[in-house]
Formats: sequence, structure tokens, C-alpha cells
Amino acid sequence: MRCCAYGVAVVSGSLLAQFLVEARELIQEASDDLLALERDPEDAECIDRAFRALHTLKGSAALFAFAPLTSTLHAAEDLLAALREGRLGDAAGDIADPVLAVLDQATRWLDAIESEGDLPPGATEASARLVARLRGAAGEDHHDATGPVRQSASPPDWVATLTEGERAAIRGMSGERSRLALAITYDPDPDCFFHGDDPLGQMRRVPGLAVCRIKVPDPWPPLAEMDVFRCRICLRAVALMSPEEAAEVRSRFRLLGPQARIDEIPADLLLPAAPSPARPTTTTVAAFTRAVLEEQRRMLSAGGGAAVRGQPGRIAAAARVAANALRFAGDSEAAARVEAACASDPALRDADQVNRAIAEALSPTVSRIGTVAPDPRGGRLLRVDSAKVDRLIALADEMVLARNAIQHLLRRAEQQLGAGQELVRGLKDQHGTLERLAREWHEAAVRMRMVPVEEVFRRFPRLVRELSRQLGKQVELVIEGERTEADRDLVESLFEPLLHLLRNSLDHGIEPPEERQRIGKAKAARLVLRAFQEADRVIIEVEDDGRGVDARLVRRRAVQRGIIDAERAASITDAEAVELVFASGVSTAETVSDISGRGIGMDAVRHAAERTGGTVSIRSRPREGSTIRLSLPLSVTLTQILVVRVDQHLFGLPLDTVLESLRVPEARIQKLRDGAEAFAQNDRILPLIPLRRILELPAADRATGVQDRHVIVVQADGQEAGLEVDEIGDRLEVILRPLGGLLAGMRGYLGTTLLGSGRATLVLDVREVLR
Amino acid sequence: MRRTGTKPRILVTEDAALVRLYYRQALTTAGFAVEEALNGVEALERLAVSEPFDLLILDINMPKMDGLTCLRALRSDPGPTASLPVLMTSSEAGPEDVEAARAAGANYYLVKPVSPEELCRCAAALTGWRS
Repeated sequence: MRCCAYGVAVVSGSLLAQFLVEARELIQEASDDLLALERDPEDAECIDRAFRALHTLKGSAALFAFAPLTSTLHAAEDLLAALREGRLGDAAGDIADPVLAVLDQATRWLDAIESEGDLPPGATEASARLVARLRGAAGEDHHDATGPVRQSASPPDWVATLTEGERAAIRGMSGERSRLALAITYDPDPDCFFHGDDPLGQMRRVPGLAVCRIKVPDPWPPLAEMDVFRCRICLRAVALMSPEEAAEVRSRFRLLGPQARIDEIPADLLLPAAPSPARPTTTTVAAFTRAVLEEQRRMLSAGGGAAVRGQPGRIAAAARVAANALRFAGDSEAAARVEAACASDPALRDADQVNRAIAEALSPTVSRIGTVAPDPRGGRLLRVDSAKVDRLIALADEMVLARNAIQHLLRRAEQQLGAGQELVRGLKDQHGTLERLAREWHEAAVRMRMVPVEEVFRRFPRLVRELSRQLGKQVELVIEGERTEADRDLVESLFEPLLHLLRNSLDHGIEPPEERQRIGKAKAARLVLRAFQEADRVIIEVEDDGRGVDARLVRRRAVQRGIIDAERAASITDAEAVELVFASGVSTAETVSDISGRGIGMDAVRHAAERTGGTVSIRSRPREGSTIRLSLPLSVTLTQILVVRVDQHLFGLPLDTVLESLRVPEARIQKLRDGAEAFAQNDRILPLIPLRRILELPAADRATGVQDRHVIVVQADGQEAGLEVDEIGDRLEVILRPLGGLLAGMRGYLGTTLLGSGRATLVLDVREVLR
Repeated sequence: MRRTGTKPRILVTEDAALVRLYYRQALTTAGFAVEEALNGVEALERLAVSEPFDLLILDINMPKMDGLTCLRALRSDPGPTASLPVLMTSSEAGPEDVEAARAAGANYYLVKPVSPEELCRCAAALTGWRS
């Protein structure tokens, strides 16, 4: 239901989007501080920061009138305020859990707001439960816990949107001094009819009702989807009554729990008239900028010009604002011209000069400005849709192709004109520049996608804390190298596999505290999550000082599951045996637990790593612990390939080596003495190399000389040649993975890739092929 | 000119607590740094001692010193604060009210109640802030 769009909540989608971003950051900050607080309960700065984060969060949430979210956050904020002021006494140690529960709930609600546009059904009840729990932690009595969110220092935001007519109605009724003005905010639960509530009847019984707004959902759902048993209205009312009546109304609404809230409105708040004047609705940035510029000109000529007191200040202010408005609209040149028209010496400032400069800026403004979104947010970081960055990368790749074509032309120019010609030398220079630019552009665009791994690491302290509690283990989580950067997609894909690894360490690796003590280890285990860069790889390690992986157990399981036979199991080293935990179906857990241990975890980790072109390995030291290492590419760069077929085999050719693809008639092919072939293309003789022969595939049994031959002209290291294939397929963008296992070190191939069909394909190293 | 890369600083001068809260919420949500003064006297004091602001939002009807008096004093200041962009707000929408604000040196005038979008867009334009 969108029925809560009240007053200040007339908020644009972009503000909501910003709120979601900001709210998640604040939740993270508050969680971090609460966790830190558990280690050092006396840390006043932590308390302060957590309080502030929650306070800001609640404040921004209130702008949007997601009532259950706001009231829950409010109660959490109250609890932290009590802690901050030392009002909790012995209860101070127990606040982290209820507040963290609130933050968890808030995170889920934010997700729902983002995907559904509103809080999920049942949010009101969930809020009531959390509020009760918070009140319990604060040591407040239970009766109060079920009451409406108690009166806060400020009245609800919708009060500011009362129209002048409504204000007049309230003022008209508040003749007697002794009457209180109550603002009633009542969002009935959708299921309230089933609880026996009667929202409208409830409102009718309020004495001295001056204003009552009933808000219905916007847009109203289609008739066919309407459920008449669900309540879809929101109520906002102001009533004037005696203190005795007010007490009665409060106790009646208290029964409704967090659905309703009653605030007393200070009388002076209702006094200032708030007319809704007709004002020009300036919709576009251009139109708005024009309005601001024109206003500066009017200001300059208002009140009699030079004679006005403070005229030099006014001229400077007009020039400054005009320049700012032009910058806002994206026209910094015009802004600079307006600034230049205003003398820095106050005595020399000339209103006419500034006025003229603004007038000049106004004339071309219409066509020049107006394409910039009026989003005033930004700061030092620019938020860019990653699709736009990907587009830049794709363009850089296109540029590489264009460069190849130019290289080809350059070679022809060399042949026809001679390498010493000035034209050829010039072309060569520019080609070199283009090559460097294309490469740098590509690198810069790839770098734009890099984010610190912190974005995923910071989620783990909470999870580790909860898991270790569940498992009855004591753990100190150490995070290292969280500023290490990697491709955003890669960083995001790390969460699941790392969660698996941490779970595994907690569940299987780390011993229970008593056992650790018995064998002379520190009671609290040390779990390290570490990131660093090594050459062009990002290394992520999860290290624990637990019992390590039992190589004998892994061997036995692997044999049981038929992954290796008993003979092989006996012959491999312990280190090799331990690596088998990554094979599917091998789990060393003695018992299956809720947290991990169905033997799919490590397997999933390996798959996740391999999907991004990475590898995973394990080092285990019996009784001392184990380290699992993910080695991942810094960035997931896509390679463009051209797929070709020889017999039933598909191969990829890197597109940056491909000059053109041709069909060459048999007649143009010349047989050379040693059985080799060549063909003429663009006044050059190119060797024709059957890919079949290079790959040592059996000769074709098709009748030669009947069809044209499929030829791809490739180049590498300054050599060009025609590669003959059976069929030329699609151009694809793929993730190239280096050859591993048995194939590692094999020459002639750049790596393998998975085609869309799931079929693994070798990508040829054209340089080696031409050698 | 404003230092680039920092949040524009806005001084909100307004005697009504709820309106201050409302402005603060709208502006901080949009990324501005907001400070508050309760009347013209407080505003001039803040401007004199704080680090430079990028925008002054000034209500007209306030106790102690009203917005117009405050603005005239500001524009007559011999120092650099004389050129501070000023957004005037008032519940009065008559042409003579707007003209009086212009004569005092207001750069823009909004009639209350002001929507969050309008407020933020105006603040962005007057401070020249673009993302």
C-alpha cells in the first residue's frame, strides 16, 4: 500500500533511492559500533556513534512515513539514548542483541522497500514485537511496551502540511485556553478488521475533531484484485479537547499498539498561516536555472539601484548566485564570464555590467543547458551505473578492432609506398598513439569498476559472531587487507563462498573452548580473513588455528564416494589428499549440522572461484589449523573471440588477431612445391594454413575443389596468414581461463572458455600457430 | 567560490522547530551540511564566527531580528560574507513582500510550505552544486 504518502513524504524517487543507500551505510556503522561495544562496554565514543547513526537513520526514515520502520528505529534510538545517559544501570550489557535485531529487521525492510516500494505485510506486528523487546531491555514495564510509540519531542511531520483552511478550523475551535490540540496518526493494520478493530468508528468517537484526513491507496488497486476485508486507509486527524478527554483518548488508542500515535501539537505551530500560493512550476533544470538568473536581474534593479544600502554586496551576491546556477546547469564557461563581470573591489562593482553578463548567459542557456539531472547529491564519489562503465570497456574493445584494421592498412601503405615515406612514418606514429590510447582507455575503464573487498568483508563480523554463538565456540575474527581492490562483480560474488569457508572453519576446524584449553591452545580461536594482491591476482585467505583437515578421513570419504580408488588414495601425499575436500560430496564433518557440513560447501566454493577464472587451494597443518586460499583475477575482463569449427571441434580465435574472414575460391589458391598452399589477397600473397593440419586432425574426406574455402586472415607479431577452417561461427565475449591441470604449459592455446551451450572450448594462441 | 568536493554548508535560520527539522531532514538527505540559527541575531553571529557557509536560508518573520533586517545588515558587511547567497522563505506571498526581499538583497524567494524537492533543488542551484 502506498497510502502513507503524506506531507513531507511527498518525496521523489531519487530521494528514496538516496535514503536506501544512506540507510544501509548507517545500519552498517551502527552494527560495527555495537559489536565494538561488546568488546569494550565502556567505550563512550562507540555508544555515541551508534546512537548518532540510529538517530540519523530514524530521522531520514521519518521523511518517508514508513511508520513501522520509523517507530522501531525510534525505540532503538531511545534505548541507546538511555545507555548514553547512563540510565540503564545493570541492563547496559544486554542492549546489543535487541538493537542488532532491529537493524536486521530494518535491513530486510529496506530490501522490501527497494523491491516492492513498501514495507511487507505484517511489518506493524513485527515492529510491535521489536519495540516490546527494546522496552524490555530498557527495563520499562510491560504495559507501556504495548502502548503507542510514546510522544516524541516533535509532532509527526504531516502536521507541517496542514493547509491554511485546516489550520483556521483548528484555531477556530481552540478558543479556550485549557484545550489541548492532539495530532492523531493512525495507520490501521491491513488485517485490522479481523482483530475486531473499527478504524472509522474509532475516529468518530474522538471528541473535538477539527481535521480528519482519510488517505486511500494511490493508485487504487484494480477492482478484480481488491480484497474488501483488508483495510487500506490511513487516518490523520487533529482534535481539540480537555486534558481529561485527552487522557481517555490516549488510553483508547493505546490498545491499538503501534498502529496509532498521538502527539500533542504546540499551539504556536498552528499559528503561522501556510497558504499554498500559485507558484510557477519549473520542471526542467533549464527552466529553473532561467528563473534563478532572471531573479538575480530583478534583485539588481530592485529598490532604486545604486542608492540602496549594501549595493556592492548585492551585486556580488547576484553574480555569485548566477554563476552557481549556471554551474548547476552544467555551463561552467558562462559561469566564469558572469564571475568575471563582477569586480572584486566593492567600490568598482557595477550592477549594469553584472546584469548584462547574466542577460548574455540567459540567451544561449536554453540550448546549452538542461540535460543535467537536478540531483544535488554527489560529494566526492560519483555513483555511476555499472552498465555505463561496461559500455566504456566495450568501446575500448571496439577501438582495438579499429586499430587492427588501421595496422592492416599501414602495412599495405608500406608495401605500396615504401617504409621510408613521410606519409607512412606519420601513419605509423599515429597508429602507435592510437594503440597506447586504446590500451590506457581500457585500463582506466576497468579500474573504474574496482572496489575494495571491504564492501563484502564488513558483513562478516556480525555473521561470525552469531555463528560462533550458535556453535558454542569462542572466536576472534581478524580482518586484514580490506582495502585491497578488485572488480565489483568479483567482490560481490565473494560473499557466498567466503561465508561457506568461514562456516566450515567455525563448524569443523575450530575446536570447542574446553577442548582447546585441554590441548593447550588459547580458549578463543583466531580466524583470519585476509586479502592482498599478488601480481595480477587477488588472493583471499581464510585461516584458522583449529584442528586442521584430517587427511586420513578425507581419503576414506573420497574412496567411499568413488572419487578415487583405494590404491590411488594410498599413493597420494597428505597435501594432495586434503585438496580432495573440494571434490563434490566429500565432507569431513562427523555430524551434519545446521550450519554447514552436508559436503556441498567446499564444492560450491570451488565452482564459485572457477566461474570467475579463479582457483582454490588448501593448506592444512594437523592440529594447528588450515588456510584456504582463493586466487582470483583482479578483474573479470572479457575477451572477444571468433568461434570456428574444424570437423566437430569448436575453437576460439582472439578477435584482436583477426583481420578479416573470407571465402576463397579454389581458383585463387596456388599450390606450392612442398604441398603448401597460398592465395592472393589485396595484392599480397598469404600462406594458407589449414587449421586441421596444425591441430593434427585427420584429413578431410570431403571432395576438394568443389566449394570455396573458409579462410580467416590473422596476424600476430607482424606476420599475416590465412587459416583455413570448415566453418566460421559467431563473435563472442567470453571469460578466458588459463589452462590448468594436465593442459597447463601446453603451447598453442591461450586458455579455455565456456560457450553459451556450456561446452568447453580451447582458444588458440595465434602467435604460436603462425610460428 | 566553494571548495569542490565538500558538502555545501547551509545555515537555516528559522524560529519554528518543526520547520527547522523539516528543512534539515530534506537538505541533509540530499547531501547538504546544515546548521541552524533561531533568529536574525543568531544568524549574524554564526556567520561571523563559523567557517564560511555556501547558502543562508532566512525566514522573514522571526523574533528578536526579522529576516529582512538581518539580510540588509549582511549585504552591508564590508567582508566577503556580503555576497553570501540568500534564500528567503516566508508564508507571505504578496508582490510587495517579494519586492521587499529583493530590495534587501535576497537571491531567491520561496513561499511556505516548501516541498523537499523544491528546497533541495533551489539549494543546489544557489550553491552551484552538481553531482
